[in-house]
Amino acid sequence: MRVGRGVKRLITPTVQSKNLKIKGNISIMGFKEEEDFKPKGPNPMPKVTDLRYWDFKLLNRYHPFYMPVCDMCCLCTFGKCDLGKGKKGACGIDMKLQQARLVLLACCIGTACHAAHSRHLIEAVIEKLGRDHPIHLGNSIEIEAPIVRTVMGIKVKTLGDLEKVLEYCEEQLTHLLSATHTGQEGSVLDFESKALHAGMLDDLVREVGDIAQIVGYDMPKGEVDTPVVELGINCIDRNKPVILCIGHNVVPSTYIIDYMEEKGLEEEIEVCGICCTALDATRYSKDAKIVGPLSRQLMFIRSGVADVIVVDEQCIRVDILEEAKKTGSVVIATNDKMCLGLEDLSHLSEDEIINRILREGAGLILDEDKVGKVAVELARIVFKSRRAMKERCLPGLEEIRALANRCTECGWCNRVCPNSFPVMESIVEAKEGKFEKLADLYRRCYSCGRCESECERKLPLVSMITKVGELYHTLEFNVRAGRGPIQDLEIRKVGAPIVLGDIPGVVAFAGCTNYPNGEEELALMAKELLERKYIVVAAGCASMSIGMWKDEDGKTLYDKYPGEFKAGGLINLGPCLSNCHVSGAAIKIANIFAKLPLEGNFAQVADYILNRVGAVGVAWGAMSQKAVAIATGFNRWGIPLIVGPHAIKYRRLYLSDGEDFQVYDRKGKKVMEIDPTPEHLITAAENFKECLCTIAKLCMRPNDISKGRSMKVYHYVTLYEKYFNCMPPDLEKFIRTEKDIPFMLKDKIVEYLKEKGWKPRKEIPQEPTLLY
Amino acid sequence: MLGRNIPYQPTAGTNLYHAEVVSTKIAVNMVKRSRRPLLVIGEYSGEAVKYLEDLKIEKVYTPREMNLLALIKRVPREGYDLVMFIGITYYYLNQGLTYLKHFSDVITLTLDGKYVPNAHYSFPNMEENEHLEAIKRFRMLLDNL
Repeated sequence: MRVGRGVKRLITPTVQSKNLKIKGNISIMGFKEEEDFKPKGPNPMPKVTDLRYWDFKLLNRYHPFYMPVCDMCCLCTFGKCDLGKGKKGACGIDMKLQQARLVLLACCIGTACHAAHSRHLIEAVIEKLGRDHPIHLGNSIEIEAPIVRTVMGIKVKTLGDLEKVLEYCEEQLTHLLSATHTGQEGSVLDFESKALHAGMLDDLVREVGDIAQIVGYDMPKGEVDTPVVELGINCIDRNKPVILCIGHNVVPSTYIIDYMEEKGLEEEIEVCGICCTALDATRYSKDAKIVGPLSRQLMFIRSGVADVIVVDEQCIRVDILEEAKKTGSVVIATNDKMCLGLEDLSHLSEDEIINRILREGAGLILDEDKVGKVAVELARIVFKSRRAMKERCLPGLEEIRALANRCTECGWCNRVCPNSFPVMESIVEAKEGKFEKLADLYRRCYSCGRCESECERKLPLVSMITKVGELYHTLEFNVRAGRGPIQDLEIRKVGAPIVLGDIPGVVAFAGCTNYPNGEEELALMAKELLERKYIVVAAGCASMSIGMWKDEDGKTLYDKYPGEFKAGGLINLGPCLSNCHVSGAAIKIANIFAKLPLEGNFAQVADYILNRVGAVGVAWGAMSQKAVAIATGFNRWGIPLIVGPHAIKYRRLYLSDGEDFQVYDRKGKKVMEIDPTPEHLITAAENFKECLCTIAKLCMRPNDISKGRSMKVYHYVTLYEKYFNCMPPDLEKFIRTEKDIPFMLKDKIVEYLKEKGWKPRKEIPQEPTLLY
Repeated sequence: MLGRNIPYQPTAGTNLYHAEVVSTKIAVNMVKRSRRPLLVIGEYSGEAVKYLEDLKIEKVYTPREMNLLALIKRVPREGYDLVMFIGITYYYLNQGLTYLKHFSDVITLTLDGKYVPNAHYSFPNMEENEHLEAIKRFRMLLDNL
């Protein structure tokens, strides 16, 4: 224990006194060590079953709705077992149980990903700054870790405290994963409760990870005006050595940027990234650029622009070595999750590593300290030999036409495309030298490459689409650098308008890029909501996708709308980890506006959010296991979510029957029936129009005051009329009394309600709660 | 079209239980024999919807009138015995139908020009003009009942 010199001088004469008794805590360096780490509240550090009662409340209202992907279970050697048509497997499992088990497994995988990532970050920053390094997120953020406080019941003050949170999560994750073993859980509801628990842990570890990197790498601490950074393939200067970082773990990128700055090479080298690594690199340094989200990964690799590709973890093409070899790029793997069969070169000096990678084309460096010099010097060397080659990595238009003429028009590329895009039709037109359809395909395609794998003529379809796309489209956009948490000050200003319904809602765009119709749709959704004064927040690939649209003046939404958490504000929180700040904001509303104590008080806080905070998540392109963990985490907090059509392949939604709900009104001291708000906890929309209308609907809450509800109804009706040319067919469910009818649409709505035989509700709950 | 009874998206099947391919005549007989059929019309039916819009069968337009999955959840409770689908995003419908396949007794029939493995019965994969002719014939046979 370190004791300051001044304190020693004070203590010594005192302890020399006889009969001295000291009671209470001795606070040294401002820390009361043991007391601060004692978890507080009704349910601190909940075990797997501690919040089951809350989960069952949710599941009783929002029933699991299963859509199996396979008729069988193949997880053990009794199987495979046919679970179709009501049959049971050899262990007694049935179809619903199997789906619930797979959802839990997916949530565990996602949570483990984030937990491991956060563990890595914590270790890196502790090594850099020490366990006692304080967590301070600036003067505008007092509630430094709302999720940690609520779940763990503790306040974290130093980086070392974050390790305690990870230990709890890692222990819980072990229990949850074990529940997916053969012959474990036998109840669907309990499987779902465990999945919700995994989701909550996922939220927790993401908060730990993002706080660690914000503090450790001096990233923005909730600043409103983070810089606008360049995004897009055309932003990358091909005439310089290019280092491309792909993945989610910023640590290697920081070493690269540090080395560059140390050598004064910022103008000489381009450092860019794909996916969350890119978002974090731009939070670390203004010199980094973003190529794009996951959807552009294979396209950019094929373009051959990158001289050095540095991979870390998560969502990276697993055939990266093969792809890099085609273009002559070298690959550096930096993480134990993705070793790619490469020899670990960490024991060599940087110069030796450079020579090895030049000879072999790739290398694994687990000692991230060395990545900086190796990547930068490799880029300078490799660039010289690849300069001319960069122009030849993609086929030219004439070559594309020649390749297209080899197409047999079998149509299987269309069939294996996840969206069944008209790939064949685009190639058929290219035979005639017409490339417009290919250019249009480029805007919507997310370069999964399945069409290429299927093509019987082995046409390099992704390369062909990429080349045409680069020629036909201006691929230069803007995105605001991720700001991290929402400030307590901002919450104070908007907490009441959100809860009372004056702000129509908070919409959080999250998730991957498995979109049904390209990235632009997400930007257009955000645009529609911003124009209507919703608060729009985004994280991960979604935040980049929102930046990939320009208006007629050439401005992206980030250029047009402020990054403040207020009506009409567009906030980029940061990478996937930063999704925690969505739940964090909702929790802060409960604490700052409603004065709810947070410590160990999960159920009460979640109950508040469910009944009062008009927030909804949209995971329009959710694809990965991390995404389902994030979605399930939101759900446990009472935040509903809309997913895109592909995401029903996760197998499970939480849907109500759409009829009246039951709540207990604390003020009226009775159980009563209320309007079904929010109608579902996780639902799917088929297309852009349906998603927008569902967003408006899911922002409604039982506790809306009439003025707030009328505004939400206004948006619901006007969105429906704009996109479907009719009134919402279920509008009568959400009009509680005549005061909920917006003045501007009164006549129309009154007539509609008359046709439906609507009757006003006799009473509206004052303090609705599910906790009774 | 190649592979008439292979799922249009080849990985759309669930391994064991797949839709039986039916002709327009069989489809019409199914409608004739059902007590309470329902037709669910999506936004992507194209020209085919012209021939089905004024059929004297209960209809729901999705997503305009109801979310597809909310509809699929309600259908078993509301007593429909035959539910037909047309014009809905292929993989979205295919995945949603597994709920009815495994957890209800409702019979499902898809009328798109693409084989949907998770329905109970489905039209085969067809070219666009072939499909339109099939829908016209379906309508004609229904009218002649």
